[in-house]
Amino acid sequence: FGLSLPAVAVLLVALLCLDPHGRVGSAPICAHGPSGCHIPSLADLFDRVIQHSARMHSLSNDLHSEFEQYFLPSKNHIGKIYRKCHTSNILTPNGKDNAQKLAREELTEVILKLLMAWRDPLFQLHQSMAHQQDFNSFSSNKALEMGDMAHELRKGVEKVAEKMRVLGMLGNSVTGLSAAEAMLPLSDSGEAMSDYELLYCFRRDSNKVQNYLKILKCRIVPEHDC
Amino acid sequence: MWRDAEQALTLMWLLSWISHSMCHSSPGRPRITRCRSPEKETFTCWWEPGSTGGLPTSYQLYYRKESSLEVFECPDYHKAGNNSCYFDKRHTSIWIIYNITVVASNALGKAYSESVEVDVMDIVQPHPPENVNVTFMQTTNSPYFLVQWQPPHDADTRSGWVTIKYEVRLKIENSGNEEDSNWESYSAGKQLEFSIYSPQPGANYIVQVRCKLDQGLWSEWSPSAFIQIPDNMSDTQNAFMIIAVTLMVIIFLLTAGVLTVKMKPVKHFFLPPVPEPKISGLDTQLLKSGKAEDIFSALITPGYPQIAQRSDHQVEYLVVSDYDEEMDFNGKAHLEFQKGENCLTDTITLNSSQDVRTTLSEHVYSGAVSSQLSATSGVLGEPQELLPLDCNGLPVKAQDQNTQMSSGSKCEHVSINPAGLMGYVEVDEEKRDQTPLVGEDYSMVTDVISDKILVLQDSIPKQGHKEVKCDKTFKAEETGVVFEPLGYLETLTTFSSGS
Repeated sequence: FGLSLPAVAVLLVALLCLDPHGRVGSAPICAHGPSGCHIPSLADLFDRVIQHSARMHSLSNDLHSEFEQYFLPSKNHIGKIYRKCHTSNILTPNGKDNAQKLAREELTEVILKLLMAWRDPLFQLHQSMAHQQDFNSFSSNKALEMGDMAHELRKGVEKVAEKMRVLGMLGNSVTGLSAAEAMLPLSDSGEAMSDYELLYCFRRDSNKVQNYLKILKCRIVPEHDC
Repeated sequence: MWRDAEQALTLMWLLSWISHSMCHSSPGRPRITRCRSPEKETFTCWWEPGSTGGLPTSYQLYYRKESSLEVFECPDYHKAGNNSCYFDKRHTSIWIIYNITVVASNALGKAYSESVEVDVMDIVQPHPPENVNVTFMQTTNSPYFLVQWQPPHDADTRSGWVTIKYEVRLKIENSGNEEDSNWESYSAGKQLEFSIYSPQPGANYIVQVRCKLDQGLWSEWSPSAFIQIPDNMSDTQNAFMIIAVTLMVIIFLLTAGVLTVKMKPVKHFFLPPVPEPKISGLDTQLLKSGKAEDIFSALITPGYPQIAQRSDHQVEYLVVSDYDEEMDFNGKAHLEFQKGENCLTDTITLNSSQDVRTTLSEHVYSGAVSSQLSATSGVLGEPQELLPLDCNGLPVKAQDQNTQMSSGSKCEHVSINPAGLMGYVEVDEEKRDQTPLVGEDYSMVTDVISDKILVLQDSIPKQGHKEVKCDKTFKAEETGVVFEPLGYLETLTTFSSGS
């Protein structure tokens, strides 16, 4: 035939690509039933997510008290509190009764909104802490870890929501899951928030997330620990 | 008089009025001491009043929430007692800052306390756990006592709003000195009971429990619970232990006694002594204690050829190292003398597998060359043993198979090299054709020492007398060059075991 070598190579590659059997696809691991896999139950997922949120909150607590101890010895920073957090626009239940009255879809939505709103600000917080010489590397590592945790927690809660929807526990009125948007950490007046304010606000919001998750869990899977 | 009385009265009235008015003043500033939320759903604030100023004073508490400017007054002044304000569920919002101020007012004025900012999330401190009780469980092997309690009644764990964690502490009550004993604290997690193992018998324990919600503050310690541990715990077990320990002690003492008494045999039993090398026919005791002549005569055993016999014989020993045979490489060593004047050029091959060192050191000789030639012919006993001689006929002790020995001034290089694959026949060139050995001509054999040693008589005694000339150009090499023996050859005829 007299085909040159490049031509042969091209033909081979073309064959491989066009041949459907030559393609590699991915199949889910547990496709053949539950024999080889341990699929976590909804209760397990909830437990994991709650533990995660507890850790995240304790990290934010530590960072906040470190900051307060070293940078604000006097308690005269009264003006600090009246700066609103950037998440103040998100309507969150402010007590147990309010949280219990909220429907589970809305509660889930609130959690996701909160977590999404902190994605960028936490990253900014870590950047600014890492650049400042005042913080030691330990603190800025904590900030980075906190940001990662928030990200993972959000993914976890999304999985929980997915599972709940699959099990039919969530109605289809959950539109908010896709509407959660990232927010910029700007206060009311449009100024950027300081590190301390960010820490304060995140500490509060992480406590909210932890509480809401626990309420949700005991409402949906009340078997143990409730 | 009337005027005096009037004046006095006026004065007195004036004085009393003045004094009266000086005792009254506006109230002093009150101070908010603390705010607490027992279950993260309601909270209470307490204040302490300042000076009253002598007049009846009333207190009001006003608060503002974080985002608004509207001012509210305390919803309930009485529920939590005097000088307190109780915020019920309707008025409590978590995650919001409250700005709280207390105002003290009387007829003469008002006084404002310092404002306090409170977020309910930060002031959570529960009530202590309830119904703490302790029971002693006497199981056979491991007695313990069990502490049980109930959560504070207002904490709501069922809805998951709060998670309670507990801590237990206990100490032994010493009637004499309370301060000495310290509390032992144990974290009990979320459970409602806790077991303490191995309590001291006869001791009186005090137990307390406290709790906290999530990351909040610890509660106060609960009221103490007491328990008395009975004295006679598991008597039989103790008795068994005592008997077992006593038996073991007795056995231990017995073995120790036996060992000390019978040290040697036991030692021999466990660690058998290594047999020392013995030379048959040699009396080591004699060596240690006897006189020189005795030793010397003892060394020369009757089985060996005597020195006097050999003095006029010129014997010749030929060493043939047969490389066809499977000789152990390491077993062969030959001693080379190189150069030097008045050298006795000898090649001695050791075919034995014994250590060269031990072989050579067993033979001790001294003397000049000539007279020793025969003496050295009295090589003893075993076949395949050779004497290394240095230039003066003094035996050389080989340290190592491969070391170069410098013995004396005359000879320069003496080395023992492993013979290896050598078809090495150390034979006097002149004699080579004269004495075909190795099994062909037995007419020269004068004596047989053992089945491996034949003593041949040389018919030409002319050689090798005292003049020993070393050939300077001579070089004995390893590779099988036959070197020229000058003078007496001392070689030993060996027959390999195979032939």
